[in-house]
Amino acid sequence: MTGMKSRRGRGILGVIGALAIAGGTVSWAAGAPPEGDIYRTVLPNGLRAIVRERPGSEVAAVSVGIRGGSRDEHAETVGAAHFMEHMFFQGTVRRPDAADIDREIEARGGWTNAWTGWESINFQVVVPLASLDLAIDVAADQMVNSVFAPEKIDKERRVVLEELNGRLNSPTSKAFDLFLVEVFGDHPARNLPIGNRTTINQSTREVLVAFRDTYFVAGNMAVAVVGDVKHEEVFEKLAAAFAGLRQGPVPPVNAAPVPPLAARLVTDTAPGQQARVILGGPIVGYDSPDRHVVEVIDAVLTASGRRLERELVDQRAIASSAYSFYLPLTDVGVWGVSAGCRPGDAETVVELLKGQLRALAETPMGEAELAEAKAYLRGHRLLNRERSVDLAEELADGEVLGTYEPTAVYVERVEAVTAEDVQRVARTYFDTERLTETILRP
Amino acid sequence: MRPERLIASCALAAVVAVGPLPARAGAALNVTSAVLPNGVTVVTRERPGSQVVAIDAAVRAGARYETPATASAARFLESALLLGTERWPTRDALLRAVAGRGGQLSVTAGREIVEVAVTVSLPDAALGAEVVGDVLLRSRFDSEDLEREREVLIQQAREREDEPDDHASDVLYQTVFAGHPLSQLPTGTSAGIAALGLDELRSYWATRLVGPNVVVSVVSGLPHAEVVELLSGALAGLPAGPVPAANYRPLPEPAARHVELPLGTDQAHVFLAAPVSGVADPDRAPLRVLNAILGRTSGRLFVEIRDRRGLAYSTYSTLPQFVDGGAFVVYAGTTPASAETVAELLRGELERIRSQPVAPEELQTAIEGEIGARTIALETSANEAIYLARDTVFGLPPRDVQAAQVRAVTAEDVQRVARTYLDPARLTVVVTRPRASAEAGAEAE
Repeated sequence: MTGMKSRRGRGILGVIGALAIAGGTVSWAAGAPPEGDIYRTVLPNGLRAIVRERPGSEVAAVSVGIRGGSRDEHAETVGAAHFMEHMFFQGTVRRPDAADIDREIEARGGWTNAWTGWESINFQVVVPLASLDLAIDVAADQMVNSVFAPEKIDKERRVVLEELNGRLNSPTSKAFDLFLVEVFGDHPARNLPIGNRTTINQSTREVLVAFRDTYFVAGNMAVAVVGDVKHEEVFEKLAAAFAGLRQGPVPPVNAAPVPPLAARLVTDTAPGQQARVILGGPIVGYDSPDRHVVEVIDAVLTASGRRLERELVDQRAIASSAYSFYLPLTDVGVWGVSAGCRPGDAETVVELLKGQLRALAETPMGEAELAEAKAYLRGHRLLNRERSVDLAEELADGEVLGTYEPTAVYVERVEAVTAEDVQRVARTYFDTERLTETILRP
Repeated sequence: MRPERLIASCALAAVVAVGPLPARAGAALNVTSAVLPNGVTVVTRERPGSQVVAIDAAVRAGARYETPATASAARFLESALLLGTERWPTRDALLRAVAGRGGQLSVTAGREIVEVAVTVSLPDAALGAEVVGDVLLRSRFDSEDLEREREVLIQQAREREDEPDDHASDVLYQTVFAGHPLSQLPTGTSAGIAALGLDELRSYWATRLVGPNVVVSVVSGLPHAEVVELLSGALAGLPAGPVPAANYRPLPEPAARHVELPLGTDQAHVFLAAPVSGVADPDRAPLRVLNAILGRTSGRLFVEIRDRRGLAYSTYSTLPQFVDGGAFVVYAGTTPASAETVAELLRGELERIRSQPVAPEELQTAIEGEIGARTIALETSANEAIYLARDTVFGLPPRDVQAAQVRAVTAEDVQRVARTYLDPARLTVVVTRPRASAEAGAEAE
């Protein structure tokens, strides 16, 4: 029952849920907007602005994207980026208290939120259409005028530690964090956005401000507005509201190749009755044409083909659930398969999951199953585009990462995936001798 | 995650308000309803041009109707209804029939209703209707499948018990509603699932599944008449009766209850709750405003416990309400050493709203916020279908009338309901504790 309401400081991008968001390597076509109702410009201060006009929509959303996240952090202070994101909700010059930032928005039924990921940070404000000007004002005020008051930093540190505490005490979250901190090997993505108790305690105001002043500069950011609006008017409002953004050099990107696959075993315990098993490894990210192949594999294993659940749940009843996931970052990604089971069945479940991975590599996928996966991905993309905030977030985050992919392009690329592609990618990355295995037991 | 979990089972469980349905109210919202010959109510909302079809079929078969012999039946149904139908004989065939078209199919058990929800694209509207009809009327309930599923459900129940906040909130509702049908958990218990007889499960469903117990809402680009035609075909064969007796009754008198849960974890979940009135009561609107004053991000709990003191990451209030009763709940998750402080702060906020009238500006922002939040919550077709179905089951007026009821709330109303329901001497308190402090220390990395 907890966590159903949108809560400020949603914090960490992704346990697994938010993974199917499409992206890509397409840059914007010069001149014409890539999708009919999307308009992009660069404001005088270098901030990129994107507007998507949705006639008839009663809800408007503003999303601000910043390139930079935990992969850019120092090992001793990992988690500072996420901690810093919280400080944008702790008061501005004009809105000195935390509640001042939310009060006007909530008074109109809207909400604010933000998340911090491995390589980008995103803020959202959602309001009924009539209050769009206020939403722009609040988002800009946060970005331009946040105070980072020293006494509030120490208070908010306790909040962040309690957020971490909640993750450590949830067996499901704990298992994923254990897996994710190991799976990337030496790749910069090994830095988890949440950090740990030590690094959060070492994140002083100076560390937070240094991250802010490096990454929250106009040329490293984008703002997107989605709603029943006219783009010319919105561009003018954004230019005025965000005029005071920090200026500075665009920080470098620390791209790195996909790390070599390696066998790793991570085991731990948590109070409870059930075990949690996660197997997976590093894989390609947005910059690879194979990303769509991985999405097809993910669909075949879970949503459309149901290979994992069919064997482990439907047929054997040995697991409470069994599913795959794929989280792409720009230059790397992580895939995995996960199941919950009785502690005594963990070894068998690991073997069954490995058997499913081997089957992908050994047996060519049938045409029907492949077609079903493609239909699922296409339909899923089309059916999940009703919320203005999802569209705004996709545009702002896709802009700063260079991963935005119009629906038509996405669908075309998914359509092009062949059974040979699936087998090739599975053979390359789903090597059951070189997996990160995580087992959390009671 | 598992498709069945995509629609949260409790997020929207509190959609309830006041009063009878005024004639023709809601017409401006493109909402139209009809009753089929077998008693099924069909509610449609047309979104011209929409390419999405969202169907939500709500059956009054929730956990509150379970008896000792049918304990955990609602939770079992949540899975049993996806195990295969005559046309799609396995879970695999059924789920893939929808997912293979890009759609989503889920079943959710609540306290009052069990809901089948389907979202498909417009050209698949007939498929969506057929899936709903098949799941409701022609699920196989094959004994071998159900026995295998029982093993899965027991594991899932244990996993829920392993999540400290979920477990604590289950215990909270069992305690605050003790002795009343609402105390029965829609998520079931591992013991209940293990003990449930399959014939009992089948007859539970057969008894509850009669036309007057069913509401189907559809939010789509299709006109009302077309939707009614689709559903008339898909739901033909659903019997009109006999309608089983409702088990509505007054909630027990509130009393001070304190439950300590030694879970062996290093975070204290602190819940305080009191029973409140149900749907038909005019106190619903002031309670919603009270919930907004306390529970929002700019609300009193968040400001006091998180923003001023940094004692919690998550703190909120919530107001689940049903036909004959509900609960007002305040919550914070904190370090074990702060559990008492946080409990006192939560209690203090309840005392404050009882003793001091809310200021006009705070009242106004709570009212307008509550109304505006509904607009935003209804943005997706699937969510609007859920709200329409649940509002209809609970006999609530259209959205504009509900908004007017909230807008009429005064500061005196808020203080009155706080004094009526939130007596600090008669609260249910649930707190999770570490089993031993040494164990808690070992949790740090």
